[in-house]
Amino acid sequence: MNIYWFYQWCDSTRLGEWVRGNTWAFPLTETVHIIALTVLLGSLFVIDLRLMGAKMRDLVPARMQKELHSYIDWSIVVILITGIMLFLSEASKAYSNAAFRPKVILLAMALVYHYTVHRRALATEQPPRWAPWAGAFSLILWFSVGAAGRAIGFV
Amino acid sequence: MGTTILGFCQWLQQLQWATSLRESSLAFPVIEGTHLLGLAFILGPVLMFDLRLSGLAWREHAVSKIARIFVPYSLAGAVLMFGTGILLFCSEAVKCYNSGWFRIKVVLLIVAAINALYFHTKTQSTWAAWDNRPTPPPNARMAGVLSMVFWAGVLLAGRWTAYNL
Repeated sequence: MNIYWFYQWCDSTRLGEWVRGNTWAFPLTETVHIIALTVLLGSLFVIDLRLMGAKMRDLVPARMQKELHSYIDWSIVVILITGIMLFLSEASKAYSNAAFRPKVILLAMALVYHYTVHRRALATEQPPRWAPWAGAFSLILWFSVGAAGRAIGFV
Repeated sequence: MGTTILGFCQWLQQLQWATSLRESSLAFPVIEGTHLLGLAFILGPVLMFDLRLSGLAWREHAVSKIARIFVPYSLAGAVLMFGTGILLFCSEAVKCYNSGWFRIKVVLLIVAAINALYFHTKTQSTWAAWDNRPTPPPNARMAGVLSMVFWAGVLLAGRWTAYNL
């Protein structure tokens, strides 16, 4: 089944046309996307390093999660909104971009992982024995999303 | 003066390794991608300390403790960002020279550094009095908020350098 028509339809949405047509809309949207990404990856970076065993005095991973989960959740919301705006503005291009679909698949995996396995690893004061693996996998997954996203602009 | 710097930039980017970096279809994207994702490495820990200073997170932890935990990571991240950043600059020195956004980025980086230094040398000397307070005094909160604003500006100006806006 060819779903190119869907990408074309996305291209023709008013939001897509606005982002594409306005000189400052795309750069601004992308900058907000990157700032939110830095908040997300930065927060996950410190939590996951801790899960992996980095010494951070008496900081408990589960407590770190309590401090940061609202920043993490909100940055994900902002990343998704701005990401959809960017996509709508060049959907046909995304269709034929070799990095776009891998990125979306990785992103879906990362989101599911984050709200299931990763959350479990951070649910208890005493982290489970597999917590270091959960932290490592989280970092690998999210940085792969970032790398694939950056690759969209290069391939 | 201007021509001297421009001349230096021209000389820099015609060096063989700078030229091959600029023209590489693999090395340049990899270094640029590392520079982008390295933001998490330097700014994640910076953000933790800024949030503590502005009273927005880590309120149950001493300010000095949060600093001691996270500042070393941000310094390691800074090494990564400077390393990749200088490589990128060398490969596109003339473009950077001509970019107003790149100049803004450099100024903002210096301002962010001054803000951090000012805090660590001046404000921090009164630390003992408010180390355990969930909400630090206004000048400390200001340093935390300003740091976040400056760094957001660095990100914006850095991205817009690449756009040629």
